[in-house]
Amino acid sequence: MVTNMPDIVINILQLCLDAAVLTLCCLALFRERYTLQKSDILLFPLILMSCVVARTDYVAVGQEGRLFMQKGFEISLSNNIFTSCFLIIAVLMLASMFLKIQDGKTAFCGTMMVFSVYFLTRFFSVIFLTLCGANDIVMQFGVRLLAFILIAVLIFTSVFYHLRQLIQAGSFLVCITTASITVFFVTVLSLASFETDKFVTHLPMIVILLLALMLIDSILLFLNWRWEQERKQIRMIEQYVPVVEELISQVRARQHEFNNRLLAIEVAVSSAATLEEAQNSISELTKGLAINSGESALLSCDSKIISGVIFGKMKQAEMIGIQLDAELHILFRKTRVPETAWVEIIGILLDNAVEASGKGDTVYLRSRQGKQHSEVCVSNPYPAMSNMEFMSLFKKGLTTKAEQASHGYGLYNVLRIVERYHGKVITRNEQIEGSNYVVFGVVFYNNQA
Amino acid sequence: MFRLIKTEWKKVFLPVLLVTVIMAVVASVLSCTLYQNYALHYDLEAWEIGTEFFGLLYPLFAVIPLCWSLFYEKKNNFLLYVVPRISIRKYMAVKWLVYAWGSFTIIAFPYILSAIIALYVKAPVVPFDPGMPESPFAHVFLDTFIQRPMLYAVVLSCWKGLIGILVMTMGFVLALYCKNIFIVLTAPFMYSVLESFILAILSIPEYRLVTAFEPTCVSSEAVSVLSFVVGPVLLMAATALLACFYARLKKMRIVEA
Repeated sequence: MVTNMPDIVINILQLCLDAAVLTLCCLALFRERYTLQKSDILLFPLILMSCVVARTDYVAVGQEGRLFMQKGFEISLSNNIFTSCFLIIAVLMLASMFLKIQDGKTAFCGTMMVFSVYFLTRFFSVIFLTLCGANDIVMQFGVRLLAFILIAVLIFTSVFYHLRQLIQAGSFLVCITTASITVFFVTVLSLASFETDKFVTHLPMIVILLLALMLIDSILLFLNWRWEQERKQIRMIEQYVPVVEELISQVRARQHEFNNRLLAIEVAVSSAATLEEAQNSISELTKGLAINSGESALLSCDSKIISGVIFGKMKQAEMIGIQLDAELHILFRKTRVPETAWVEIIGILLDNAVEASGKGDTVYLRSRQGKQHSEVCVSNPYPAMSNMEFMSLFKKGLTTKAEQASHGYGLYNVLRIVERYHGKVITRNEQIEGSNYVVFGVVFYNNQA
Repeated sequence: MFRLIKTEWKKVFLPVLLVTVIMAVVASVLSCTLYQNYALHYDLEAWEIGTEFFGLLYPLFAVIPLCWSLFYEKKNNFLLYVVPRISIRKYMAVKWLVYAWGSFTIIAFPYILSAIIALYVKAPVVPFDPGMPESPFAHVFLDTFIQRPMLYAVVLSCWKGLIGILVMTMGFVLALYCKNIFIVLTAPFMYSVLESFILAILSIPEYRLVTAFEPTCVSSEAVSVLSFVVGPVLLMAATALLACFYARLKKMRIVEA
């Protein structure tokens, strides 16, 4: 087989760059920095192999001695629909087999997102280089290098984090939106016969169509987010409202006892000879009659879901000999933070505090509401910590617990929620009855948009 | 037995019908439109141009509408409830028969229908006259192609249907053992592409599976009887190897309690 050496070297370099960009996209979307493994680098040769298969000239090989096709690879990795399908399926299989993405929807959405990001970066690179007047070899390598740099820069922003969150949701709407951009580019490119010149000729129309598509995608994703929130709220209502109903039924069960005691007090007052005797009898009869302060705080809470969460945690703590003292002075449903976010924050803070406490300890949950802010703090006994130590606990994957693998996400998630609603995290040491308590909390401001 | 076949056919009837109808419509429309940009000699060439696209993607059409059902029957432990009622071998044999008919229908019927439309419905092709001497027209099975085009189209469509059955069998074996739906549904397609790539690199493209499926994809001189045998035999060998790998080497069972 006679091949033109400079051409083949150029083609192989291009293929390496293509595979590098695609590998970078895959790793950025399927892996997080701390879950990256050394073996993941093997994804590059596998993707390179797929790119080689997609670019091989089946007709010319063996007849004209040419190994690779030359035209139509500026924007796409392939120059026909057939090899485009092959590449998408190859990445889908590599994601589910090599990167071990078990969930089918995540693998599908992720793969589609990989190609959408890939096409978008290549598309913007082509526009930029066309405006700069680049052509031939400058265009061929410039497009690939620019796409690589763009994706490398995006990795250091939170873009891929948000995209990962999106693909993990994996709902039907997400599947459609992630696939739409890939389908759009493959369709447009096939209509342009995968020729960059034809593609560039219709650039204004393609840009308008792409923007319209992205607008529709954004609306769909917003709707998806709204429905997701509603579903989350319904799940929480289903989970926690029965718990509050249990608390209410406990209080109702004591109604009978209250009636008997009231009757006894009435008899004691009427039968007492002196005022002093009546006072003594009444104080004797009212002993242990008051409702637990924590329980009364829960009953007066405006959110049944939050009451349910705290009551559930109280019962869990009781089972391991820890007392949970709750004081709630916030109208949670009047704040601009949704109930679901409060539930997540309070749940995480209480779980952490209970796990860090020992038998006989008391965990305090305090909430305050000012004119400008709403604050929730949870404190538990623990040796004093420095500010740096406090801050490091909010990093992803960091934990003080022995079992490291499944921990280290709670406070990180709290921080993400706080950032989302423009609040602040509270951390401090506090002295309660001579012991040091560590306090973790959040504060949200009412007047911010 | 007949009732079992009927029950199994009901399970896949709708996807098979849907894919067959869509493919038939697309193939017919393409056979009536795409040829207009080409200089042709015979009506059946329009059919070849219109159905070229399916020659590449047929492993997906033959596998996806059928094998997903078997995959989910295994995944949802439906097969566990089948075992007390009927022998699993018999059940699988019936299932394969039904799937074989399904894949044959999906591949062969759209080809036959689009051939009928290309031959009898669309406007006849006006033979191209280049105005200068040209090399004689060459085609696989030239005499039949020219003199009895309908017979050529029906026989070739049925042959394609048989290859579709072989491709579906690979997906069928994977659905019995593999736990990843993407591998089950797309592995035959990947096999077809990789086999095509390897044989093209080895400079024997005439023995590819795609050549057996669509003999016009290489020059007519290169096509021989072996072109119709090697690809399908390799595919059957690969399927048998897969079955042996899962059943003998990995000792996996079709029904796992």
